[in-house]
Amino acid sequence: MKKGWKIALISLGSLLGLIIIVVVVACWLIFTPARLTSIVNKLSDKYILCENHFGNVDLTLFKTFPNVGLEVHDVVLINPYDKPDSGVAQGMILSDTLASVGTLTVGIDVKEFLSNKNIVVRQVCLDDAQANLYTSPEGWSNLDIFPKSEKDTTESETRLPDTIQIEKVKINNLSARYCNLQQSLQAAAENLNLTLKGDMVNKDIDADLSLEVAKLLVDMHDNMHVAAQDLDLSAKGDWTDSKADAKLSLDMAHLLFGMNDSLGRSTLTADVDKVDLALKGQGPKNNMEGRLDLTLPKGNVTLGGKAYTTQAMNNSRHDLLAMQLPFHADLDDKSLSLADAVVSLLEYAINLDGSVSLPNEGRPMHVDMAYRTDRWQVADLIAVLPPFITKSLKGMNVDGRLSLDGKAVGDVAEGQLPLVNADVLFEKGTFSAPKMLPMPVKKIGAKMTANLNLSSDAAHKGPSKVKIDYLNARAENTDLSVSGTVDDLLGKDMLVDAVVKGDINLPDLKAFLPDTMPIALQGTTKADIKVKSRLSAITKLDLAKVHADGTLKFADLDVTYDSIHAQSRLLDMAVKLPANPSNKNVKELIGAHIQGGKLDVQMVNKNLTASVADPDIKVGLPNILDKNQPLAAAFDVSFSKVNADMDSMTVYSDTLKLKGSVRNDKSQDNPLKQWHPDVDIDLHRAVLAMDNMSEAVRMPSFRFNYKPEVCEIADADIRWGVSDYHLSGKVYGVEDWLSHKAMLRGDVYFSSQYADIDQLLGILSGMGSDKDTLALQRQEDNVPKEANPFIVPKDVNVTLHTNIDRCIAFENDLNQLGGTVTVNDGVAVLDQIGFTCKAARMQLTAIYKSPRVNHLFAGIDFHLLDITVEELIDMVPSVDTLVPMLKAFKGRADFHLAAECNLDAFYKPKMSTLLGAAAITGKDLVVLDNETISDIAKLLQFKNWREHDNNIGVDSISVEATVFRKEIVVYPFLLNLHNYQLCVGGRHTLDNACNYHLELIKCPLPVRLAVDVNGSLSKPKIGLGKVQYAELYKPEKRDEVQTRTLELKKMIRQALESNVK
Amino acid sequence: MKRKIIYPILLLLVGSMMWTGCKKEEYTIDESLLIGKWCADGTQEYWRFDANYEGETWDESEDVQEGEGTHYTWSVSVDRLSILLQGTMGQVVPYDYTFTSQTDRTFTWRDGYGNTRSFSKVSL
Repeated sequence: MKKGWKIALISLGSLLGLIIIVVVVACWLIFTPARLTSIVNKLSDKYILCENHFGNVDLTLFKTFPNVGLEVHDVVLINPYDKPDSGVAQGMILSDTLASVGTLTVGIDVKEFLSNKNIVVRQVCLDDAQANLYTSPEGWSNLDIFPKSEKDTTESETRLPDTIQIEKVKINNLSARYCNLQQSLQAAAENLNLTLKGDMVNKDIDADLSLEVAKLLVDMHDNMHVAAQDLDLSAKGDWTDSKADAKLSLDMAHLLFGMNDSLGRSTLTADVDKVDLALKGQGPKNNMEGRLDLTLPKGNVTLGGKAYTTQAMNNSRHDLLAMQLPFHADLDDKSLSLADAVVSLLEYAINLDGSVSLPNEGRPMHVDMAYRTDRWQVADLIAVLPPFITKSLKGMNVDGRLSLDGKAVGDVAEGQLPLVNADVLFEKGTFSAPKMLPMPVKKIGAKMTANLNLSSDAAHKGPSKVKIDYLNARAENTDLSVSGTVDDLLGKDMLVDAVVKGDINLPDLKAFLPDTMPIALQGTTKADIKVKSRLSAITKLDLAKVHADGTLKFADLDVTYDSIHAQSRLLDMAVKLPANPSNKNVKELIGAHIQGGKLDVQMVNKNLTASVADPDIKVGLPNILDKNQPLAAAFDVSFSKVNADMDSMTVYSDTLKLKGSVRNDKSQDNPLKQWHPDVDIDLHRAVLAMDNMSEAVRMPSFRFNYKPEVCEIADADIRWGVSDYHLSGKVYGVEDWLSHKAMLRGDVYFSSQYADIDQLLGILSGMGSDKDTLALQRQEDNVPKEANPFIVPKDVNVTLHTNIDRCIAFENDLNQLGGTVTVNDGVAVLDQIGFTCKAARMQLTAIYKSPRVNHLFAGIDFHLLDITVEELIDMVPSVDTLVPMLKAFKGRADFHLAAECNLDAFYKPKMSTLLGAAAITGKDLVVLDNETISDIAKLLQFKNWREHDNNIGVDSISVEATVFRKEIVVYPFLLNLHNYQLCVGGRHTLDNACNYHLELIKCPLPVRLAVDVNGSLSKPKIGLGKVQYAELYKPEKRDEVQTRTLELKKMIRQALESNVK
Repeated sequence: MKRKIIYPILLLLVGSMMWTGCKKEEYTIDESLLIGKWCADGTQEYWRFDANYEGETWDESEDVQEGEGTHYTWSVSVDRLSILLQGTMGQVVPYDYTFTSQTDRTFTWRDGYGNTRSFSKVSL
């Protein structure tokens, strides 16, 4: 630099300095504090209506440079008012002092003042200020201290000026109270420090704000309270119509926030420490990039009186709540999008990606937000959650890893909320609840997707559902898995449509059954069951509203229930709910179909063992859980190769089919009435063997049906030894008979090609009798145990219609046996059994009664028509006893016999009860030659009475005989022997004594001769006797005795012949 | 020779006188005395005659008790007791007995072949 220039610059500087000094000195001399104070006080009285005081007013240049400043000390504004009686918040102290400022510094633009005479305030600084602002309920404010201008008299809309420029506003140590009773708003701040600078030009804002408050209280409308300590707010940024660049940070050492409802009840409280909020945004307003960070390390929050935070949360090393929300905002569109945003409750973070649009130009708020969580450890989460959320888990131990991944999309408006989708993944779960589950569940894994419609109005309301991809669990040695859907998730009653599959270890089920149930289970089953039902039906076990369809495949099944033991290596069971109706007697709800290879059953206390092959069991049950419905079952059962042993009995059947129903009525007194069986039973190729039977009974087919009160034998084909029996018919009143209320009635058809009646009676003997009563009778009658007579049931009335081609009965061969056998209340009646044997056509009516074991009754009404005499004697040997002379005849005769006798327990006749009558009619007989006949003929002077073949012809014979006890009486009868007519009569006894009389009624000689046969029948004494019957067959000459004799003969014969059909 | 002829003639005369002398004396049965239960002497065979002309007979030696025996109807005609035994099977067996003596404690009957039996009353 040249020396000349140097000297010039120094001189110019010295000149400027001198000028400045002169100006400052001049100002100091002209604008002295006293003068300025005087000016301000004069002006304040003009412009301030309330009592005011301005202490020392000083001019400052350097503090407000480059502006000229006024520094006012001890500013006081006093505006008294009537203190309200109520409505003032606690801690709010009302004072007449409107404001008190230690130092007020105002910087004024000198240039603007000098050039345009405008007072432009560039800077305002307050130090050590206090303010008390009050608005009465009527709207009067102590702030109305300035006189109204003419402009103020006309009502005009208050609006911000187009340009605001604040170089500096600074407040140090302000304590202020604001009480607006008109708007129910009160606030207080202590030790408030504020720095603000910025400007607003045509809505373009450039501001820098710093606010510190030691204590801040806000009370709005008596239902919102805010108390903050050490609040530190910093805001800085540019804000134009098109873009923004702003930062906001807010720290609070402590924040207490509360909201009440109109009744004063707390709806929300938040008591948090160290609130740290940072918000920044930058860029065009339609694509602003920003970020919000919020940290709440500790705190307590209640909603509706319920604590949503716990001590465990506050003890966590993680922040109670943390948010990192990077965003892009379109302020014009009022929309916000998040990318990689994170909201964390403790360590449980939710990642957010998506957008939120606020209502704009008729468009409702719209959300399109994806969310995703990490894998949360459920046990840890439950441990920190508030009790009211986890109270339903009391007594349960749940753990596992849970993660959520989903999206919320949709509008938010009145009654409308976004559709929420959630993919739920649960891994490595465990569950135990000793009071609910007898065993812990482990290896729980689930994957499911939920679609939730949270809208409540009808236009947008829709279904919410969960799709379960899988839900697996393992308990002991049992694995279960569930897949399917749950519809109406948020409705009153969810609809579950699921498939349950499982590998079930049957012993594991024992733990679910009552300890008192005497059951043991072995084996496994594979379950595959589809279930569709409302959740309420499942939880209430309302089976009527549950649909289920599936199979259970049992393997190595071994079940013992009480004394019943069942085994099967493979058994499949299909279940269906509701069941397909199969029987009108049962309201079927539960259907089961069991099929398998082989099933073995043992009943230990019944000595019963049974095995069946190919079991095919269809069972339909009503709602067994409905106590108002009687227990019932419909069934259709089929077995093959049935083999059963019980005590001394063995049963085998190629096939056994049972179809029908049972229905329980506990009020009844016998098993049949208690169960009302209606069943068809069908046996094919069955064999029954018993130890006391020499031969097994074979049943090629056996079908019968039992309905209440009626047992119908549809078709019973039975083979026993050489006999065959075919039965059909009905038996009535079985149930009342078992209750001893009525007799058992029956009408049964019995046919056979060959029947061994003796064998049949042997097996039927004693059946159906009361064993105790029989035992007592045997004891009273001193009946030896070797005696086992047939005892006829006393309360049975069964009619057996017989049709037997050929049979053996009492060692006689009989053919074409037909008639009825009736067992009626202790009486067995063979009623008019018609049959033919090799000798004759026969008809038999027999009665058998067993009033006492040692006093049996047997009676017969026996007719043999067109029989040869020798066959008659061969077939009925007792005829020879009744009519000894009959064996002397040859030829055919009709024979009628009615007799009865009581028997002892060995079937030995009690002769004192023997009572019988017989009639024999024969034609064209021949008298066989024998010594007795010859002797008699010689005595009667018979000559030339033999036929050419040396036999004696008899034209006709009509004999009536009676037997009573040991005496047989043969009533006089006529014998026409060629040229002779003989009358024979007499009696003999069973001990072989006889008194017979033979009298010649007609002969070629004119003599009347008679012969008496007395003594022993085997060796009789034969001699001439007195004529007795000469007038017997001459009505006009017979005497009273002879007349009565013939009447008796007629009476005996008519009584006998009246029974011939 | 004459003596040989006279003896048989005398024998016939004496015989005919004796026949006339032994003519049966008719006995009239007192029905009222018959009513009751009777036991055949030396046996356990009982007969009960009821006032309605019905009755029952049984033999306790064969374990047949009253009520289990054979039923009948009865009637009397002068000295003849007619019994009609009635079987369950429809058969009827008639018997006629002739009374030879009767008291309130005993009676005796005779059958058609001349055999007699005595009975004693065992209860009223």
